[in-house]
Amino acid sequence: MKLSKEEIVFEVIKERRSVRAYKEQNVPKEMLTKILEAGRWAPTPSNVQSWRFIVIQESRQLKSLKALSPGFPRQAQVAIAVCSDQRDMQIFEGPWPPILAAEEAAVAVQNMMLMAHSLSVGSCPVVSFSKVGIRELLKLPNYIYPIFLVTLGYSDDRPVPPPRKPLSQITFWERYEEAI
Amino acid sequence: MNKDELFNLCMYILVSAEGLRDEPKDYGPLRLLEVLSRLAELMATKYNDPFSKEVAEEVHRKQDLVMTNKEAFYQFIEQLVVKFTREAKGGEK
Repeated sequence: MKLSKEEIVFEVIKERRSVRAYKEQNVPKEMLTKILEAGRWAPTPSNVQSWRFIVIQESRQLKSLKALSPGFPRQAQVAIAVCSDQRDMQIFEGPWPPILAAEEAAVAVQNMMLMAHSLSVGSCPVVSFSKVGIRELLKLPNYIYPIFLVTLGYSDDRPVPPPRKPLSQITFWERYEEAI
Repeated sequence: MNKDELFNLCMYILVSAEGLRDEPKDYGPLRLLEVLSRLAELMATKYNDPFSKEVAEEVHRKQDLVMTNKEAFYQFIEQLVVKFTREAKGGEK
């Protein structure tokens, strides 16, 4: 049975899990390119496209990255450091640049993880890492902020979907109402 | 247990100490469990110890419960304490 576009999209969204156990199998470069392309097409405030993607797959570099990231799944074969170039964010005033950078990175990461899942590649977003350490390891200048690590690899696990709050508990129409 | 493995473990403990200041409270036990599993792995290899091997595998399998089922996660830690206590008493079943 042919699925509609809506069904395919929703299926990919619902099936994606954060994968923390991977097989020792490389992810081909053409797949990584598709995943990065999906990130590039994410929404971006005022089209600044401040994101910078650093792909880490060389074993020594990956080993150091794992050592700096307590949240890093051990057997991940590839990681993408999703960073923001703060020079692109200078058009925004006040407290917005770091907030917008994090939002921009988050939507790009979601796009990448959905593309990865559709290619049967598992992924996991990681924010538990040493910013100072990653900055040193990846030779990031001070205007490049590391925001996420996305680990990738072929899943060696079928994670159980964690429970979700019902839509009725988290959705309000027209105005917010505190539950009594 | 080679120097490289020990160094990585030291680094893990250090960056956990740095990160835990801003992370959820439950991540403290999670990070300690990870250290436990890595030490158990090292012990299993160095001393060919089945108890350590079993612990390392079990922790590796169950530590992510913290993300999905906190009650089961803390039950698991309690079970591990019982398991270690029995082992300390001489492998009592």
